Amino acid sequence: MADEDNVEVIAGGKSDAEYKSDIANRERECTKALNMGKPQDALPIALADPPIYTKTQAIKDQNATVVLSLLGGFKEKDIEASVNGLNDDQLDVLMKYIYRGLAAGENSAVFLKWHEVVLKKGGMGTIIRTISEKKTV
Amino acid sequence: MSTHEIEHLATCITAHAWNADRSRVAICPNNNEVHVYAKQGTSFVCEHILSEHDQVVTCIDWAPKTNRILTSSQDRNAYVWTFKDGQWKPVLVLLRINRAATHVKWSPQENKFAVATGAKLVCICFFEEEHDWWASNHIKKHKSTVLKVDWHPNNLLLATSSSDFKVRVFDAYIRKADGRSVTRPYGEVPFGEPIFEFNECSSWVHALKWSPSGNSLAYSSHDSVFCVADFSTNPPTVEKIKLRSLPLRDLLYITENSIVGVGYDCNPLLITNSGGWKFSDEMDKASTSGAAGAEATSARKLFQNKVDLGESSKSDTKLSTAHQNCISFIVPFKSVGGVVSDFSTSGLDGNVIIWHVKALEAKNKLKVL
Repeated sequence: MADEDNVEVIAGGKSDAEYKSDIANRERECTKALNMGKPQDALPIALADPPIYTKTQAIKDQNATVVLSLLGGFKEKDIEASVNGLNDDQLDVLMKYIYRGLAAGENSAVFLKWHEVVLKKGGMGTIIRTISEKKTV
Repeated sequence: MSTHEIEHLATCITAHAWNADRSRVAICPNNNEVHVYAKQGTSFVCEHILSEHDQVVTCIDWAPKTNRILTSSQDRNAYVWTFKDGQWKPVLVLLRINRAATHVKWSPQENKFAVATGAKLVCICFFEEEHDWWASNHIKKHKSTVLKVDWHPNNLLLATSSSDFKVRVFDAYIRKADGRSVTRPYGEVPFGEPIFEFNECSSWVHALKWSPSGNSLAYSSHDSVFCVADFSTNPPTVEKIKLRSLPLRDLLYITENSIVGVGYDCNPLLITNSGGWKFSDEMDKASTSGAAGAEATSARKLFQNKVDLGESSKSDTKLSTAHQNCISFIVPFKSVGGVVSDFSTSGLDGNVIIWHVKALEAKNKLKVL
């Protein structure tokens, strides 16, 4: 079909500076939760407001590092309970980061475990949205 | 009573359409031809082959009142076929486009029709008596291929869905076809200006349909998102739900508050509205248990067998659903006053399946609202 690249991404979101400070705040909270051994508390915080509207790759990378290190810090038995507490939008964001983690190719075992649990909760729809949406993380 | 009847008419079907009394069905077997089948006893027999197009026929619509078949094709043409002296005779439509025609739809009064195209526009076609041909006006304003069109029951509003992720509503009033005496719902809107634009979807919008009353518009996109816009308010309010399933390719209102969606799951899904739209259930449940996820397991089994036993394609890959591939088309088969009691689906597996809503409800404990 014609001219897919001309399809504009809907403008919105924040400026790069705002994204940066938000991500730094989130990083602090996540580190705190990780140090206390309670990564499940930090999961909804980490998944909030992903930088989907910015074109700056560095900001996307920065947020991805925060989320992926949090996901990697989970104990396997905690994953299911945390995922069950998420809503549909958070599940979609989480799935996008899981695919990003898998693409990086490190620590894949833990991301495959996440993938299995999110797929069970959110169905094939979450995978479809990860693949088809242009709002990448 | 069985829940459905399967007719295997081709290897792959891109579109199908029924005539007014449902004794004949026109299908495109994924090539440049349209085959008209007639029901004789219990089986369908090929009666006519319409072969005027040069490339794959993308859509067929059969006007019930005037008994005319409308076809569109990737060869950038549309034809209106009329039945005369035992033959279907084509009349070319002047579309003036340089890309494929993707979808066609007669207006409810059958005095005009809309053609969606890959040329980022929609043609509104009407008959010019003085030239004896179908001429067209263009609605531009799309940024990519238009995938589907649907007419509001008032014969004036047209909704379009496009691969630029948007759904738009236009006033497709044509003076030559509609005359001067019609009342236009949103006043004197300039031709080709969108009245509303919806951007809830973040992928190609595959399907859209007006409700029988025209009070709501449902659409669904390739990111498995399903939306209903309620037009009782201005601007319309939109409800969006994210589906668990694979994307839907086509939709059908079976009542004002129940929609059947078909698509890549090979299984018609029921979505209902009781104080909010919600996914209700799958309509085609296998009689044996474990229907859900059966496809995933069988695919898994296939690869497992390859690994464990070195077997290839020994395991059973037949799906538990009636359709064996993506369902791409759904039309009402029997309906009275906007309530559809039977509908038919066709898909890439070449089956045309007629479903009986009452029997499905009883067997699978569904609730159509």
